[in-house]
Amino acid sequence: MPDFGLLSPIAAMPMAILSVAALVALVGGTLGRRGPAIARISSMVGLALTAAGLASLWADRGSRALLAFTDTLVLDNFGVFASAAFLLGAVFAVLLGDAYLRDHARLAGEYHGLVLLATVGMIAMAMASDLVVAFLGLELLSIPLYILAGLSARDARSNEASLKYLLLGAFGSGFLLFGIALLFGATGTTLLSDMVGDPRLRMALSPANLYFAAGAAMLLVGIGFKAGLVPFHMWVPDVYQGAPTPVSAFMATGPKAAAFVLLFRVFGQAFAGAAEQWTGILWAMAVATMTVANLAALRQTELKRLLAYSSISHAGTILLAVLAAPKDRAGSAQALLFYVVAYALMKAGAFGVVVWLQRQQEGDVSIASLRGLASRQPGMALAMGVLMFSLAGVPPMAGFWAKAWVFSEALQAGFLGLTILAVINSVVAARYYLRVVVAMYMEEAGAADQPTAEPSGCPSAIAAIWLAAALTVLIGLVPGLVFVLGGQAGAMLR
Amino acid sequence: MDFLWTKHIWLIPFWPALGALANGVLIPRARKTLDVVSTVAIGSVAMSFLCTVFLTAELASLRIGNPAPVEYFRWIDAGDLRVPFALLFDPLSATMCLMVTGVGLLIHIYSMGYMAHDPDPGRFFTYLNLFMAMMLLLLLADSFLLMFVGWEGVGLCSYLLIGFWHRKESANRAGLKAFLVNRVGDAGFLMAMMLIFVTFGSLRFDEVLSNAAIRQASPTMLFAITALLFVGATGKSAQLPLHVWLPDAMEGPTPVSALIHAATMVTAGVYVVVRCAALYSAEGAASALVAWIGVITALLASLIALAQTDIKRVLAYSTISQLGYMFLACGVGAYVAAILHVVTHAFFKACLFLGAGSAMHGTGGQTDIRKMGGLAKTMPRTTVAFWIACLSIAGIAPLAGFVSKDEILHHVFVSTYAPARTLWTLAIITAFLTAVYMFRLFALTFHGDEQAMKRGAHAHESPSVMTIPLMMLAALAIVGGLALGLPYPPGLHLLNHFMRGWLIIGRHHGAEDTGGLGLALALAAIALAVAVSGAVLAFRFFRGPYRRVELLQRRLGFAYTLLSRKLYIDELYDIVIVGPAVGLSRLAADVTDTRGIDGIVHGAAAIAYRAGEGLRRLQTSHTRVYALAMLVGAVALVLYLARGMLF
Amino acid sequence: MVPLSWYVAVACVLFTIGVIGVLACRRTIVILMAIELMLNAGNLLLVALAREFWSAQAQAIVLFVLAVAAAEVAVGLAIIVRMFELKGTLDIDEVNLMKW
Repeated sequence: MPDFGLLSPIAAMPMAILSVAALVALVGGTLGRRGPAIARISSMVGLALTAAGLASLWADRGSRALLAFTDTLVLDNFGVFASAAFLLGAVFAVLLGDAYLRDHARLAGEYHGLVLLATVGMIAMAMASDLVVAFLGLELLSIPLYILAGLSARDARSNEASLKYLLLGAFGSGFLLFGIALLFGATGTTLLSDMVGDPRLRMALSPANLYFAAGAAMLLVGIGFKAGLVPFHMWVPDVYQGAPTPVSAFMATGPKAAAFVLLFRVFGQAFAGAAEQWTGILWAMAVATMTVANLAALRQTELKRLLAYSSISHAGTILLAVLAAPKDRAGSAQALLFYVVAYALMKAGAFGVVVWLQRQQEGDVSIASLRGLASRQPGMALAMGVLMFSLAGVPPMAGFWAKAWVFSEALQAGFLGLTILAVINSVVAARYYLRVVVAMYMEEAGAADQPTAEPSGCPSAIAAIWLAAALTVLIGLVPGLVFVLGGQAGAMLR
Repeated sequence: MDFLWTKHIWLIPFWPALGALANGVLIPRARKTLDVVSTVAIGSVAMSFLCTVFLTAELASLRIGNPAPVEYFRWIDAGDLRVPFALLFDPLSATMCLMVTGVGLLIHIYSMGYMAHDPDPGRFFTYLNLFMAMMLLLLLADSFLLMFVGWEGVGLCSYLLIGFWHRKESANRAGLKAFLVNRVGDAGFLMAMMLIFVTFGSLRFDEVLSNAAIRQASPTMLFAITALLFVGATGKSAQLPLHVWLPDAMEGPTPVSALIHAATMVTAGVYVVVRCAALYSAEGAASALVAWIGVITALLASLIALAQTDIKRVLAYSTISQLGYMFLACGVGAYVAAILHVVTHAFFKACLFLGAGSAMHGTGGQTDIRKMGGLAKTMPRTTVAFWIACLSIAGIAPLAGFVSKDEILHHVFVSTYAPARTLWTLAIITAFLTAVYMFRLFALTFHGDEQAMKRGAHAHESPSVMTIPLMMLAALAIVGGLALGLPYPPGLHLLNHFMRGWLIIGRHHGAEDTGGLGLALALAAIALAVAVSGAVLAFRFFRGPYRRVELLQRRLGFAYTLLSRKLYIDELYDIVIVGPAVGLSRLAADVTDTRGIDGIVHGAAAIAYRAGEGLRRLQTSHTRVYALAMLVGAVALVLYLARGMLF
Repeated sequence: MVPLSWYVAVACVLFTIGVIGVLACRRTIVILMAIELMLNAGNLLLVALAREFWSAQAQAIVLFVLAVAAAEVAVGLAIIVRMFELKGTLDIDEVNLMKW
């Protein structure tokens, strides 16, 4: 593959811009009264410039992927598209963060700076062509998230979330690193680009090479943890519930997407030649993830936990795209990217509604507290309804296309049984999404459910919710907008 | 000749969509009075109806079999899947659209009177218009994908409207039930769509439903596709075993029951099967499945209807039963007959529902037919309309219901499918039961014994905004059948003529030889005799004192009126038909509704809940447990990936 | 020269001790240390393999990992201090506010 050579820094430009913005936000946030404003402006400017940088890196149809920094970074439309999706998640985090930072102005610098740093980590994961870069990206993503989860330092729940996330995340990182070392032992390289079709890898696939098998398994533990796949998912509900809600929204969008993009690069692309080895276990993980999450969500009464389980269940569905990758890499990459974008929108919007509700009431948001929302706040109920239907996969919302496209990829790759199980699962899932809609539209608010305060203005959070709902519908009506770009991104993986 | 309208199919769903937008969003809340919203809603449906009429007129003058779809824009263009946003106005969709917009218009007008005292007419008409737009999109779509959008859309509106009175607990529950049961059907449709894409590489009708493409598909795949599509159809069209939601759906406002749960949406399943006639014609086993499910549903639903006491529930079961007839027709390849029955059914069933609504309106919301009665004196116009519709559905010649039902029965009888006679026998039994339960309903509601007459004296006739649509529907229920489907001579069958481009693929089981005029007359005579005897019997019996009805199983008294010409089967009749019929209908109601299918659904839900609860309890909040789960997973992964080396 | 397999064996044993430490210990600080042990087992393996393959790159990786581990511990300790302030205990099993 062609190399950037001395021009390598161009490939790293988005990360560089974002890192500078993050540092400005971190430092600027400490500058007295003006601090929060500086942090906010810096993060917005940083995100805008990064988006522009990514757009300039978008390659024309028919181009080939480029390698940079002695082959450790790969610049292709797949990575650029995924990075743009992460930026979308970061934008929502910034918008929703306003509602949180209103009461915690002191934390503005940390909040914006860490969100941006985590985004840099995600971009590194998406552009990694080397397992070490991927590891570094993952850590650069994780460490800011550990801090963000515990941002409400006086809140025992927030602290608990951050502690759990840190201990389990580091535990997972231990597996990840050991897995990378084992894979290095199997192939003598950490470059994914060398592993694609590497003769040594082919040799490694021979039953003699225990290193490869154990290494791949441990790698899967590390990435599976971030992606929230069963049985590495148990942190998800606790952390999403305990973390400040804008942080939960952020965690549910970008980081999860980044984990899947990496999973695709590693298993769908580099290890595609060994598909028969890992297909079975990913199949089982997909089924377990969807089923466990959907069943556990059925009786959930707390909204943030419900959304956490829903995000686990969606992770199981996205896994279908990874499974289909060896058969049709371009198509399944396209399906994955579309899913990731649609999912980010829905989840950001849904958590946004929780953020908005928490402006009116303290503590947990139960589904019961949504009762009668349709008559109190018809606009907000409509947005939430749209997002719930989209999460349930009801057309013509974006969530429907995401699911349909992944299912059709899986079917084309010959996973009939898996697809049927996934369809059954999405029927089960509709049950609990519907409960939210029923509570809003068909139940009357009891005296205990009445909000303690009038909805106070947090315009950017409301704007974020509406943006998410509107985009969900728009993409649902004209999925081609995202499909076509995703197709161009996927095509470069051929 | 310059075709003015052909390119503007989009106008048909556009008007109701615009109406929904206006009523839902654009008109400020303060202005949303009944007059404003109903004018917008009725006007939009009227515009849609006019456009349909113009387009149909042009289509009829075109004189070619199947017109090409009109593409508007590139909708989905991704890799192998290319689906433009295209609409198709062919004879089939034209017929359906005329019916939907025409009947829809009348029901919209009626709603203006029915919903006059409702606090939230804006929401009601928004949903109703949205439903019309989605239904028309479903009918006009040129690909399975676009059709699915409409399919889900009408479903959504249906749930919203069933639960319209959301202060009513039962209404919410019914909406939920409809949603859940329909998800099963929708999953079938979705899987069918995926298999279609995998098999044919396209989702457009002209590419999937061409004979050349079908010949290349494997029979197993064809069976899977057609069977799964039919699963979707059973969900939407309330066929066994997915029929349980429709009776509960009667919790919605009555115009909704008339429009969505009788005339239009529930026939979407039939439409899908007819639309895919090419697939079904190529796949005998699935067609047989369709026929059998149809006839069994028709029979069981009519049995259940005998024992219902809620006026709208009787009508709901009768809808299920009539839909069974339509599927039976599809199953034996009589697609035009199925569509004819869809249309005539829309006329008389809408009339029945609107009549029931009018009766409820006049009696202050009474729905129990045991507590109604005697309305014939106080509500003469409603009574006449209801009576005509009853005659029509019962199959009294020459009303619409008779014509279409007779055509189906005839096709079943001459079908080359082996057990055709069995199917025909079951269908004719159903026809008898239909007459019985409809006239039981009519007698109890509008006549009844002296006490009932006294009760009826307090009722009042509905305003003319309600009775005029009722009259018009009644008129259609009289002439609709002969106008569209004159059985003899063959050339004057309007629908057959209109859809002739269609008949090329519409003949599989249907024999070319229809058995001549003699057979046709004989079959018609049997059907008519069965219908008349059922109607007379039921009417005579049920208009008498109600305590007689309560002694139904013990008393034989009424049997002589039915069988005055054939006295020798008096005893036999009681033993073989009445007792078992009542018992069976109870049993059928019990088994299929409360214990059987509902039981399974509830059981599965309970298991899922329990499993979910168990899984939730694993989430103990102990970090070390979570880490242990991760370790177990890691060990499992290593063992699996290294299985070749270790074992 | 010590053969590679010995290094691998030691690394695996270290890793296992680390895993057991995470699962068996209740004090958060010990868990953090056990995780360090897991990371260092990975480092050891990388260094040993780097010698085997004559790869300078793999040795450089170790430096990165050390930095990452340091960052993780710094954040971890901060969170644990906060936990002690809030709860007055370092027992991980006491951290169980959110469940089900």
